[in-house]
Formats: sequence, C-alpha cells, structure tokens
Amino acid sequence: MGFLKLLIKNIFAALLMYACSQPLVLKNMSAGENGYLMYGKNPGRTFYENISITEYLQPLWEAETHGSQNFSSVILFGNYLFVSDLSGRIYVFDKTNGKQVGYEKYSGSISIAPVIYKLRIFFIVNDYDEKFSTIYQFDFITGKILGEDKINGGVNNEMLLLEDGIIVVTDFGEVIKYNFACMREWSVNTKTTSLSSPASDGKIILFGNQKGEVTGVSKDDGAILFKEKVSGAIEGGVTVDGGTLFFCDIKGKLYSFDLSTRKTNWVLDTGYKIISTPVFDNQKIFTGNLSGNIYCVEKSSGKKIWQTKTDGVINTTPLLTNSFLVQPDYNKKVYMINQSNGEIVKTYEYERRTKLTPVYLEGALYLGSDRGIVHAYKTFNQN
Amino acid sequence: MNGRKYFLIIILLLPQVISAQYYFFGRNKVQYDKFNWKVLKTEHFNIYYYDDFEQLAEIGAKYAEDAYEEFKVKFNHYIGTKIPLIFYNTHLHFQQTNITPGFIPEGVGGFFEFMKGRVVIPYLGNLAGFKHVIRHELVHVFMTGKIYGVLADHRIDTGRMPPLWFTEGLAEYWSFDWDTQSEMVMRDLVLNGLFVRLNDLDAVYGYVIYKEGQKFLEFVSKTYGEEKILLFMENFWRFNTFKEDLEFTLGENFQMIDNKWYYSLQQKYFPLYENNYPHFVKSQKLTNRGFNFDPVVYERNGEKEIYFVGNYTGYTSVYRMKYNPDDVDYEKPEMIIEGERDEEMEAFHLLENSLDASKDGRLAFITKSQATDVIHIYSIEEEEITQTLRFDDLITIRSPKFSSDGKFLVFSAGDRKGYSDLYLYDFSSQELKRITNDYYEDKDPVLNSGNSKIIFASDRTAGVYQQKYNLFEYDLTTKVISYLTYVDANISTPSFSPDNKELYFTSDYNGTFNIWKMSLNGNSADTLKQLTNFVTSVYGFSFVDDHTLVTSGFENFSFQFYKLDLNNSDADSAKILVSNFMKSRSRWDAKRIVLSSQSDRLVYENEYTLDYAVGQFITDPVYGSRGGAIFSLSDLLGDDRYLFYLYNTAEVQSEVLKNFNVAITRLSLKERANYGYGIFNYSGRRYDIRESDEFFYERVFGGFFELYYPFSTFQRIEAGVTVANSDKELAGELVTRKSLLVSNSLSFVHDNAIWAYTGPIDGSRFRVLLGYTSDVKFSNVNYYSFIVDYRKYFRLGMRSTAALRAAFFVNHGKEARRYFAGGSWDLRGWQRWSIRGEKLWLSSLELRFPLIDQFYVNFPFFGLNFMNIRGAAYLDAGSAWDTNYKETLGSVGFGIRFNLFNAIALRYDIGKKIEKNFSQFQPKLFYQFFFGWDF
Repeated sequence: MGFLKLLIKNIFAALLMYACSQPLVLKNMSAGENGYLMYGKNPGRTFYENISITEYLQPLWEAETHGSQNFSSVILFGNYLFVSDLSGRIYVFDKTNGKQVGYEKYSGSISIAPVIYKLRIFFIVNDYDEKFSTIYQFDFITGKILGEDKINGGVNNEMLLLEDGIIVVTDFGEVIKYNFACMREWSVNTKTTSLSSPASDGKIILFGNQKGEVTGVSKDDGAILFKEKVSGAIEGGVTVDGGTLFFCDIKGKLYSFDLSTRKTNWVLDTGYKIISTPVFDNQKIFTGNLSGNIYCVEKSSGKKIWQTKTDGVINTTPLLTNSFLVQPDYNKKVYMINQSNGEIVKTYEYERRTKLTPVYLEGALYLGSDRGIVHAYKTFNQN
Repeated sequence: MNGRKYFLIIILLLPQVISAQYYFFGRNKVQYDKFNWKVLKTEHFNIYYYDDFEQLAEIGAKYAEDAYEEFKVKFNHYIGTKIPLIFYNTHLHFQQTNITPGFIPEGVGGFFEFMKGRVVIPYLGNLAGFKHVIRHELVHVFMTGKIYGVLADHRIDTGRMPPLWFTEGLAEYWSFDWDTQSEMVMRDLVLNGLFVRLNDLDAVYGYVIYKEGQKFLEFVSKTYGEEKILLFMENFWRFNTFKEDLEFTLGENFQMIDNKWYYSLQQKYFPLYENNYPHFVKSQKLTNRGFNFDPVVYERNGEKEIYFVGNYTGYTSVYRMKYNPDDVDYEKPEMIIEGERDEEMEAFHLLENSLDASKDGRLAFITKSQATDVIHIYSIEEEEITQTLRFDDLITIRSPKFSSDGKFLVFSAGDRKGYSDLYLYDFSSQELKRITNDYYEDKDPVLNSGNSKIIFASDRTAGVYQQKYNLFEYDLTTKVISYLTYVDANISTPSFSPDNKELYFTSDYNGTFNIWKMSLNGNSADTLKQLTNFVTSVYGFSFVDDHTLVTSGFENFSFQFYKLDLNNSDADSAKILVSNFMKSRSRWDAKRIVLSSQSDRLVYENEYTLDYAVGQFITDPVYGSRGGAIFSLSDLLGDDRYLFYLYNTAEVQSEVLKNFNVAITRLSLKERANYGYGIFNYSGRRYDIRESDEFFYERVFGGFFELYYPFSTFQRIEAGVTVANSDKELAGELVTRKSLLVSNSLSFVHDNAIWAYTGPIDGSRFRVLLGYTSDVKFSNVNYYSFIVDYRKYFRLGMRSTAALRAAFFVNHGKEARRYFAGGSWDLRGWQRWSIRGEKLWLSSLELRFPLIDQFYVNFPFFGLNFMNIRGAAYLDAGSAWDTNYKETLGSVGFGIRFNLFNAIALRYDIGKKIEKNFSQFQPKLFYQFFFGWDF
C-alpha cells in the first residue's frame, strides 16, 4: 500500500513538474559572478552594507511569484535574482528588469532562501503531507537536480553557506553539514527544537534553541562544543561579531554573549517577543519586537541609544546601511529610519504585508510583499 | 428542462425572502427595542454601542486594544483593517441582533461572524466576564486571520480550519485563566469517566470541547513548549488532517500524546479523592433526572415541599416535589408553572439564581417576558400567579429574595447602562428603590431579619484580591457599603441560618464551590469555616431545618438535588479562613479609552457591504446561452438588506430584451414590525408544476409589500400585497391571457415547538391564512385562498413523541391555482406532487422514537460514526380535488431518519399506499428516500 501510494505520488509529482514548470536553465554564467549568495550576506549574518543611501527609492520593477515568501530574503547572483516561495517554487528573475527567467516547482513549501555555490543552487523543500523535508542541489546551467537528501522534520532555519559546505539546522534541532555535492559530511542531533537561524564565525556553528540555550557546534566534525542556557526561548537568528554573539529571545531581550568566556556581556529588555535577527555596524546594534518597537543599542555596553514605536509588528530582519535602517513592518510598510536618531524619515506603504529582508546590491534594493511580489528599487547615494 | 424548473422555483421564492427567518412556521426574533447606535473609533476597532452604554463601551474599547497588542505578538500577526466590535448592553438585547439570522441561546456569550469579520458581544453584568469574552472573540479573529494567511501564502485552499476543540480551546486558553467553573467541569469529566479522549473530540460539541481544548493546550504548553501552539497554525498548511499536524509539530505519535495528556489529568485529579468526595457520598440524592436549580423548602399542610426551577422536557418550568428523603424511590416532581410556551414566560434563566419563597407562601420567580425580565409572584395556597412585577428601566433581573417578614423583595437587576445593581421592592407601597449604582456587579442579596441591612456578593472587592466576589453589607439607614469578608476567593448565594445567627454561603476557595459559614456575632465575625468539601460544585442550597440543607449539586454533567445533614459534614476538621481587611481598598477603577475628538465618536449610519454574490452562465446546444446573478447587501448591523436578482433566459440574441428578469427587494428588520418591498419583472418560457403538461410564455411585472408583526417569540401576524401585470401565452394557443393581478393575504402564525434531531418533539405550530387574488383590469382571474395547517406534538417520553398534523387548503374561484401533494413530506408513497387540486386536505399521525443512538462503521481506510438515528411509524391520509371530491388516499409504514451535520435530515420510508377511499392497500410496498425535516 505504501509503495503504491509513493509510486502514484511520484508519477503525479513528475507529471506536475513537467507540465507546470518553466525550466530553470541559465546560460552564459560563470562561477565567479558577484552576488548576495546567502541569507544575511555572510556567515556572520550581519545584514549590513557599508554605504550611505538616501531615503528615496525609485521603483525599477515588480515581479510576482505564485506563493508568498516567508521571513527570508532574495538571493542575487550575476545578473539574476533567485527567490523561493511557500507554494514550493523557486524562481529566477532577471535582476535588471524583473522578467521571469524560469522556475521549478515541488510538492511542498520552500520557506527559506536558497544558497548559491558556483553554478549550483541549494534549497530545501518542506514536503507536503510528509514529515520530512528534502534538500536539493540544482545545476542551473543544465537545469538538472544533481543531488538530494531527505531530512527528518521541517526546515525553517536559514542555511549557512561556508567555504567548505552548507549547514542546515532543522526545526527538531538536528545540525547537518553537506558538502557541495549535497552529501552529508556529518550530522548531530541536539535534541532540542530550534527555530533559530544559525551563524558562524568561520569555525563554530552557533544557534539558539527553545530552551534558551546557545549551542556551538564544530564546523569540522559536528562535535557539540558547548550548550549554554542563557535566555528564554530563542526564535530569532543569531549574528556574530568577532568573539561576540548577538541574539534575542521570546521575552523580548537582546543579548550580547561572549563566545570565549561564554558569559553574557549585557542584556537589554524590550518587553515583547523578538523573532528577527539583530543587525549591527561598528558601534551600534539594532532590533525590533513584535509589539512594533525598534531599538538602537550601543554595541559595547548595551546602553539604549534610541527607541522608536511603530503601530505594526516588527518580525523581519532589517537591512542596515550607514545612513538608514531599512525596516519592513508586517503592517504593510517599510520604514526608512535614520540610524543615528531613530527618526522615521520616510514610510513606504504596500498593498499587503512586507516580509522579505531588504537586500542591497550594486545600487539596487530588493524587498518583497505579499502575496509573492518582489520589488526592486534604485537607491541614491547620499554623497 | 430541469434548469427551467429550478429557475421557476427561484422566482417564486424571491418575494418570499422577507420570511426567510420565519418560513412557513418558526419562532420570531423580535426587535422589542429600538437602539440608537453610535460608533467609537479607536486605533484598531470600530466599536458600535447604543444608548447609555458609553462608559462600558469605553472600558470594552480598552480591553480590546490591550488584547490587540497582546495577540499581535502571540500570533505574530496583524489585522490590517479595523475590526467591527458590536456591544449589546444585555443578553436580552443581544438576542435581538440581526447580525446572525439564527436564534441565540442563553449560554452564548458572544460570537465572531466570519463573513464580515464582525465581533458581537453582550455585556453580562460584570467586567471580568466582559473582558474574557472580548479576548475570546479576538483570539478567533486573529486565529482566523493567521490561518487564512498561512493557507493563502502557500496557495492552499483557504476554506478549512482546525477542529472546533482547537479553535475554541485556544480562544479560552489565550483569553483568560483557568477558573472555578472550568475546574469543576474538568474534575467531573475525569473523575466520573466522562472525559473525551483526543481522538474522539472532533465528534463532540458544546462546553466540553472548550474546556478540554483549553486543558489540552495548557498541557502542550507545559510539556512541549508554548511555541508549539503557534506552530500548530503555522504548520497547518502541511497536512491533510490536523492529527498529522499535531504529530509533526510535537514530534510524537498521536496516541502517545493523547495517553500522556490523559495521564497528566489523572495524576492531577485522582488524588483529590483523598480529601474531597462526590455529592452522593456525604449527602443523599433526592432527584435523578433533568436539570434542577434554586431549591426552596416550604411547609404546606404539615408536609415539607421543595419548589424549584427545572427542565425535564426541554421547556424550563417551575416544579414542586415532596421532601421525603426517607423514601428510597425518587420523588416525581409536579410541574406547577409551565414555562417557555407563551409570551408571559418566554424564557427562564435556568443557570441563574431566579426563585425564592416567602414564609407566608409566595413564590417569586423570574422569567423573560417580551422585552425584559419580570418577577412573577405565585401564591402556593391559591396555586396561581397573583402579581407580575415589571420595571421599565430594568432589563435583566436575578436573585429575588423575600425579607423574612415578606414585606420586601430584594434583587439584582441590569439597567440600560449595563450596570448590575441591587434593588429593593416594597410590596405595601409598591415602590422600587435602587440601592447601588455603579459598574461593579452586585448579586445574591439577602435582607437581615430587621430589614435594616442587605448582605450581598460583589466584585467591588478592591486591593490585593481585586474583583474577587466577597460579601458586603449595605446599611439602609446610613447607605454605607462595608466589607463583610475579604478573602482570596469568590463567594455567592449568602443565606441566613434559621436562627439568624450565622450566614451560610458557597465559596470556591478550594477549587469548586462548597458550603461555608460565618458567625454574625462578636469576635469571630471575620472567620469563615468550610462545611463541605465536595469535589464538584454546589450551585445553591436551602434550609430544611437548622441542620439540614437541600443542595443543588453538579455531578455527572447534571444538576441534582441532595439532602445534606450538616451534623455529618466535615465541619469539625474543616478549613478556616480569616478575612484580612488590612489588605482591602475602598474601590477599584476600570481603565477606559476616552476619545476627545468628536470625529471618533459618531452616530451610526448604515454601512452597507456585500453579503454574497452568485453568478451563473449556462450554455448548451439546445437553449443557447443564459446567465445571471444574485447578490445581496446589508448594513453592518444586519438590520437593512437589499437583494438584487438579474437573469436572462433568452435563447437567441433577438430575445435578449424580451427575456430579461430583474427583481430588487429591500428588507427592514430594524424594528419590531419587519417589512419588505420590491419590484420585479420576470419573463420567459415557463412550465407550471401545478398544471400537468402546461407550457407557456409569461411576462409578469409589478411590485409587492409585506409586513410581519410578531406579538412575541411564538406568535405573529403577516400581511402582504402584490400587484402584478401578467401576460401569458399558452403553448399552442394563439390567445394571450392578460391580467392585472392584485393579491392580498393575511396570516396568523403560532409556533412554540421544540426540536430534536430530525424534527419537532413538543409544543404546537399552526398557520391560518386568508387570501384574495383578482384581476382588477380584465377579470380573467378571481379567487380566494384559505389555509389552515395545524401540528401538535404529544410528548411520550424524553425522546419520543406522537406528532399530529391536520391541514386544509382551499383556492376557489376563476383560474384558481392548484395545490399539490404526494411525496415524502405529506402523502408518503405517492409520487411527488402527483395529487393536485384547488382543494386539498391532509392529515398525518406519526410516532417518533429513538432507534439507534450510535454505531460505528470501520471501513478499511476510515471510520464512519452515525449518531442519533431515529425511527418513525406513520399513517397519512388526504385528498385533492377541483369541484367534485375524488377519493381519500393514504399510506402507512415506518421509516428511519438521520441528522446529517445538523444541516439536513435524511429520511427513508417503507410502507403501503392506501387507495379507494381508504379501503384498500396497494399490493406492493413502496420505498422512498428523501431529505427534509419531520413535519
């Protein structure tokens, strides 16, 4: 019975894919193209761009996907923009004009951003009506799946692209390292639910879990190096700045955590649940909570610099530039906040919820709103 | 052809839409009051309230805005549009709402209407309850939005929701803390083997799923983590069943989850038996069926009797029974006041404190009578109601209590502000005196023996135990209110001991309401002593003598009376509580949103939005293309409605204009007299089901007006007039019959029936109609109509009844229309609509009884659970004729009925037809399947 069910399902899925997909094949690409290859830009998940833009955004184009996006971001590579959606599709658009180049469809949902390594894209599908997920390695030059692997449970934590592989932290708390051939190098089960996207200082994989523990796993062999109970449940991503880890918990506290001493440097209480990843520059760190408050804190001391109240829900990780914090609000808005004083200088309103973390590359800003609208804007340099 | 029949039925029904809430019979939702609606605009809500409810509406606005801020975090969700929040100042007014067409039972504390996102909430007399219901309904708003968003984001069908036990359980879990009533119900479920396991909860309705759902989510939060609750919703897209969602989210087998949950409850509740006991252990059971409340003991002719409010049949009434605890058999109660059948006693408030007896033999009891509650005074000796007290400004009345000399009656009542305060009625001067006047709830008052003080329970408790119900004392001379108790518990139903030296009451200090007492003398007046330790609550009690009580106890999901001998209680080893008045404060204040801008405080003007829109387009090779649409608009309060109908039946392009059908109807349900009017133009080829083989083309246009005036919930008068110009061309005939038809009708309708699963089981229904139709221009049509249709249901037991129907239909005159019969709804066995005539009579006698309560069919892939299958044995008779009587026909047989999703009854009948003036059975059996409710 089980075999029959599987067979029918696979035949149906194959027919569906063949019938519905617009093949995702990209020509004339080279492995050395510039890009924004993973959620958060780098393994430390800084979400920071060392530029100064004005508050004015000039619309370039809009593109549409079938399903909505989760609290994730687009990925950029060469001339293309890659974005996944919750209806199981992964799209490629021409980033200069928003024209759809192709897409692949799977039975399930893709709730996190893909990662790109050379000419291959890696993404994870939360399979429909199944208790597993599947990671795919897709060659977009040939348009073929080169590798895949089933993962127990759901994956809603963003993947981490390292120099020698890809890290996946599942919702059940299993940490898996894949090599670039999509084969498992190692896996370790931390046995605690984790809804926290990992970051890395290049040596250790760091993430939080539902018990409020910060976990450090060796990137080389998967050994659990430490598991420190620090806070309330951690449902946002973590971010690494040298030897310091920043993260927030569901009680609304922002933590600065010293990785060498494994002690908390300081804590700031915002009072309401935080599920986004804090972002920082050289001096300041920023976070927002679900009650709509946005905070700017001195990175070294935890001293609050400013606080701004919005009428919405801040659940998306913002983009930080030297001039503005570009902060999406679930209440259909994107704020351009003066990062030095917290003033909301300009508000962009949308027809539906804004969930994608803004991504900046080469003078353009990319963000998204429901259901499945990707917006591209031209930015202007303050100078 | 089928499409054409269907079309004809639609247009015939259209002018009748005004009666949609009544149909042929049916009770009336009466708009007794005219409300002057206003709108309070806050950041996230448009709050609709009326008349004097402003202060409580502003407090409700604060509760709502606070809840919004909390829930947007809990759900990680934002409601992008303003939520319409509609407040009624009492439940009696709430029952008049037109936002939902159905009747609202007393137990419904509010509802969220999915179509337009409206939240409708009555104020029930206390702010804690108000806050709870606002929060409960807002959980529904957020949850619905969240799940819709999750499904829509994944491009999955948005028409499904988690099971009711989850949605209601979550609404309870995130809206308030576990309270005494919840605890009582859960103790009863677990300890008495009534607990419904997770696997079976989908098939259960009612209060059980609220509490079990709430308790399950509490278990999930403690065992697996609070975040799992949101994940249930966020993972909802992923699986076809909620069971799989549970398993996936919790990472555990469903059966194991269920086992662990049940075990946790057993662990919690089984140890209670160490110190607590069931009612039947420490007291003697006096009744064993029905729902029994408010016992009062009165001695008549040397014998003690219990008078009480009970429900044994579906109708709540006043009963009496002998107090005879020595008899091993249960006493059979005698009904002395039959309730809920006429406008004087439209409804009792079964779960509320609503009956008392004076020492001189008078009963005071509360019923709803038309727009408000009233107090009836009943003479036990004369066995009749001697007085009915009705107070214009008091809408709800509770807790009547005679003074010891019978000169006064003290009670609590709700006014138009929503306040629930104390009142004192003087029988000699016939004057009503208001005692308190604020938004604290004051209830269960009793007068002391000198009529100088009123003791009452109230949530005016301030300080560390804010909003707990403690006992207070009001001095009628000084008009000062002072604390009598100050404890961290709720206290209700105070009652003086027969010697007036002690005060007895119930308190939930140990988790459920038990009986406590306090001395009224000297130094020990601040000490409360627990007398019983029942595992489930005592709902009320009355003294039989100085050491014996009759209690109304909750056990096995029923309310029964018990005799409690205080000499055998646990008084000696019981808990002692001491009031700590040092922790008290004089008052507490509720925060509210006060808007200064007049633009945020407006008089309500009708805001119309679309209710539904249905379009249809048909194309086929024979009749070509046809299409049309029906859509409806109504205002936010549902009082004013417009229906639009557009259709074209043209088969060729040249006939488009000739076959245009349009109707516009307006209905007004705002006031007691409901009315509707409209215009119509129908044209096209028709087939008349009343005349065999009659095809014709007809164009009819005109207008109509209908008026419905309900006298009460049970009776109404209907009047209607239609003016229609009709041009009719019979197929094959060259002559066109023209007429200008004017139809008038006047009906009287009565219905006080109560329903079981497949149809009425008690009460009666009838309609008498007089009508006259004439062609005022050409005299082609001229006939009168008379209909009488009477149905009576004789109760044979709790679940069986004998139903009788007698009906006579007459149309008489020129071109009189024919009636028709035959089929599952009247003359069973005979072909549907095969018996036709201008005169028709019908009679049916049907025995309805329970057949199978439940059976479960377990197919290889899934299980089917069939519940409440009923049986029927019937005898039908009737005939139809035009001028000369033909013959009496009939049928006899039996059948089964099955209620499907509470939406429709499936019926299967087997029987024999009777013909030749009821003298001969037809040789063969007939088998008939159809759907529809029993008559």
